[in-house]
Amino acid sequence: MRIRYQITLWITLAGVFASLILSLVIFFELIEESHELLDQELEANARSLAKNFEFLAEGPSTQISAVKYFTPYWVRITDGKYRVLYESETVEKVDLPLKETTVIYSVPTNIPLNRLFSTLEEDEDELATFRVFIYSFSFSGQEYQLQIARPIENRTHEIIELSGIIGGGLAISALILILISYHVSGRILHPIKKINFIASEFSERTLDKRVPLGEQKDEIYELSSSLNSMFDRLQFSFLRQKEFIANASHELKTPITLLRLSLAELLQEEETSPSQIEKLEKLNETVLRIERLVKSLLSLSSLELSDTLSPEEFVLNELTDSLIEEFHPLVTAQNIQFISDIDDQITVKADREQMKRVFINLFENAIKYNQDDGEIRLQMWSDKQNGTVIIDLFNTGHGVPIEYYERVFEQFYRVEKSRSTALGGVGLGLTITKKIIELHNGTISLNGKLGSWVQFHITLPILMC
Amino acid sequence: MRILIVDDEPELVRKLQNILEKLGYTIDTAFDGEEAVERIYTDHYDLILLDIMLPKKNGFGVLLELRNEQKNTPVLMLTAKGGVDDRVKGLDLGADDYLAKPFSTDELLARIRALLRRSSGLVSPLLEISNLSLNPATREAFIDERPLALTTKEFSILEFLLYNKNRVISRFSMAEHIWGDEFDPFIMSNNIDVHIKNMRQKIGHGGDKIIRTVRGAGYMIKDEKK
Repeated sequence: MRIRYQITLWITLAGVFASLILSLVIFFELIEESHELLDQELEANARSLAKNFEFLAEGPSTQISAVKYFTPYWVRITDGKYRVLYESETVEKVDLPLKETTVIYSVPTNIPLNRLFSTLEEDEDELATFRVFIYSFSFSGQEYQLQIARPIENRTHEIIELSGIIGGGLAISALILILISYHVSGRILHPIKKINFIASEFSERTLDKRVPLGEQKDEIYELSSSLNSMFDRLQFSFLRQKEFIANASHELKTPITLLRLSLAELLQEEETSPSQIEKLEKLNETVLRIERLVKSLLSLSSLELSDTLSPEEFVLNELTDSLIEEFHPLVTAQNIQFISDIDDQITVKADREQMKRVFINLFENAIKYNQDDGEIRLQMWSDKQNGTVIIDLFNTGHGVPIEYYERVFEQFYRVEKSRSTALGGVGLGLTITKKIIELHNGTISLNGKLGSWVQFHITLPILMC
Repeated sequence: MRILIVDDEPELVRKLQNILEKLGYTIDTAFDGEEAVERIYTDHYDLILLDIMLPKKNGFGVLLELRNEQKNTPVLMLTAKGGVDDRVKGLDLGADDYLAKPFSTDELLARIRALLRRSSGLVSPLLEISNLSLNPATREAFIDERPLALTTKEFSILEFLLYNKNRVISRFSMAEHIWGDEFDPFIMSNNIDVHIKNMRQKIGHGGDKIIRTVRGAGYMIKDEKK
């Protein structure tokens, strides 16, 4: 699960849980609180009745006023031997059992509430529950007991309503929590997304790009600055390597050039004898070989260092036709048949110079390792559905053992070392070819039959529609 | 004939490259001063087309390095129109000629031929040896007034040998000048042999006297009068 969803989920769950606990506390507190108030009221009334007991005992007139005063309470006063001294009007309607201890308790009855409260409507036929308070007191040496009670309002309705409100509130708060936490986690993760984008795009071309640092010195800031210092080191080593290659190339190329110039000069000298000329030319050949090796190494490393191609639109078969033309005399001299079987017109977008190199390398390879009276067959066609160009280059010859199919693309790898060196290869042609094809997002593979033929199979997604 | 084009406008470079390649010249390109110097150090050009306004290192800097290396490759400067100071500075630094942009293709080609001729110490616009004559402007070849039907590559090879007459030219350096270093000179030198064989056949009697084989070294066209 994405971190954003995880954060949202956890914040929401925690929030809902906390507000649920709070709601429950409030809920029970509210239910208890109403009883407490009633109990306090009953107790206060019991005490004041007990204080006024003197007047109650005096005569009926005060009795009546007291009774009026205490409506709608249910009141009963008994002496120490549980003889009733006084009863309020309601006692006739409701008989409540007497308990001996000084307690508060609730007694359910089977009397409908609307008979006690005239304000209630007829159809509300809930049964009344009484809250009873028992109070013992002594008056001029005598023990008395006072029982006072009141019907409790039925709160089922309110409880249901309250639960509904709490549930609704919880749902709404959960929704708000989801929205807020989703938004907040998005804001927290945004810099990480940005960092990821820059890190994934980091390449030779974007060496000087850095992750922007936030204003707050938080964890993201730390991550960004450590990434940036990593990029600094990468840039440094990239540049160092580039510089090294440039320097090495210069240092190697200059003496080679000097050697070649001196050799050319010696070749022109009048007094150089034919046998010396022959030796000098052999030397020249060796120098040329070193020069080609240096050039191939450098072009390979520059291909590996930079992934910059300069693509342009061109007709691929025009390029291959002109290249085949260049090799034509050589091929004819060896009596090799060069057949090209190409779709009408293959317009591609690719680095023309690099593609030229690919075909030169492959053609040279096909000629070098061919046999007299052999054959080279170039087949190219466009796969419009996938936007690719497919190239098959077949040639007769010694072939390659199957276990070397992968290795022929390795640097300096040659199946027949002696033969290849005699033919002038430096062992980097196919490595460079593969690198260029890969830079164009293509693939190259080898197929063949030992002692008979080989075929390179290339797919390049460079087709123009 | 191998030519290096140095200019930072890829479109212009491509156009020039196409025109010159069709005529049988071998072209390398460089888009900034540093790349140009790099190429000059390692490769052997017969002519350099050099723009003055270049990124990284301008044309004057390139010229200075070239002449400091004691290379006498002819340089044709390409300057902006009206830049008299630039032209004077360029010529003083060792450029051989200049051409103001924009220029006509015909004028450019004529100046290239003139420079190649001059650097080979030739006076006549025609390249001649005994009964063989080549006209680089029209790319026609004659043997005793008889037109010789040469292919583009054959003409280029003959032209190169004539520009370097009286010198032994190795098959490999010939291959480099004719095809550039993208091709393997060890393979293309065999191609040279085939071309020379074909040309000798076309020239007919005395073909191997005109284009001589120097055993173990290469080929040479020698002026008998000297």
